[in-house]
Amino acid sequence: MEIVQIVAIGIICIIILSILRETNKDLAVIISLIASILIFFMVIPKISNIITVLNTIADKSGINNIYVKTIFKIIGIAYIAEFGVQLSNDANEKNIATKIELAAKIIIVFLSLPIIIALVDTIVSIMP
Amino acid sequence: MHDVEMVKNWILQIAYISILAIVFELLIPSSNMKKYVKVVIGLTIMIAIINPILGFLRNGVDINSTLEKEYNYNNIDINSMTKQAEVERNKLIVAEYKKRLNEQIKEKILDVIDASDVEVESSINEDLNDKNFGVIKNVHVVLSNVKYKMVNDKNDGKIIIDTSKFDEKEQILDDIKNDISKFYNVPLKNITIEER
Repeated sequence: MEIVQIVAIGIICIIILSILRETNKDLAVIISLIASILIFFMVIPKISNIITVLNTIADKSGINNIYVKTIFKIIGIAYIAEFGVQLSNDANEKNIATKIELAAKIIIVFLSLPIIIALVDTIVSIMP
Repeated sequence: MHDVEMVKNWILQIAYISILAIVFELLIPSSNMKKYVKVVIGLTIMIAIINPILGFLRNGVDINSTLEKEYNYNNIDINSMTKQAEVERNKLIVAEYKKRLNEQIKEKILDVIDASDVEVESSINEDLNDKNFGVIKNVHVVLSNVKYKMVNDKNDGKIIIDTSKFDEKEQILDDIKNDISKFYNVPLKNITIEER
């Protein structure tokens, strides 16, 4: 049961962090980062399985592979940005958190540009 | 590609896309990013759904070829069907003609004699195209439980004949045969009367 391990890691981190926050804030942020990365790596094999299955369905659905890849990228960016924002918030760096969020939004819109262009082209080509 | 097959594939694609959309939405982290990712997923799904329609609009649907493929209009030989129907109809006509003819002969016989049952079997020329169609070849009559009676010309009544008198009985049967022979123009030798 991986979820038990993950929750156990989380609880241990909370206990360590609650003590360290009082004495050593820098170390607390680092430990928080390490715990997050640890949990993330524990679920990576599962994510690869999910992506394989989704790719198969996407192939059958006739969606262009480029679009599916873009969606995966965007979801990944959202996750990573979320990760950074939370970490920044933990370190009381709200300014950095906002910047990360902004960057993520810009990158997401940038990646979605080909999709938007394709959609506009499609709609225009329907017009007689 | 076959048009019907195309529509089927399109519907399947939409089903797959719906499933994909749900899974993608599950994968989105619950944060401020959610709405942005949702928009992109929505756009992609729109493209996927619209694209096949585009194919239809550009090429148009060739209804004739679809119909020909689906219903094989060309493969149905209307001429042979008509011929078959004509043969069936002719059979029905001949059967009805024979039935009425037999009933008429039966009524004729029952006018002369009193029998509980009269079965008439006649064979005729069944070829509708022949000018001799309907000409009776032979008639076979089966009489059961006969009580003979003769038409009395004077009183216009019927007289029951003593059946033990063999000659008179034969006479009546011969009369019937002659009657049928004259009326339907059948040679006498082709008319047989059987008594049970």
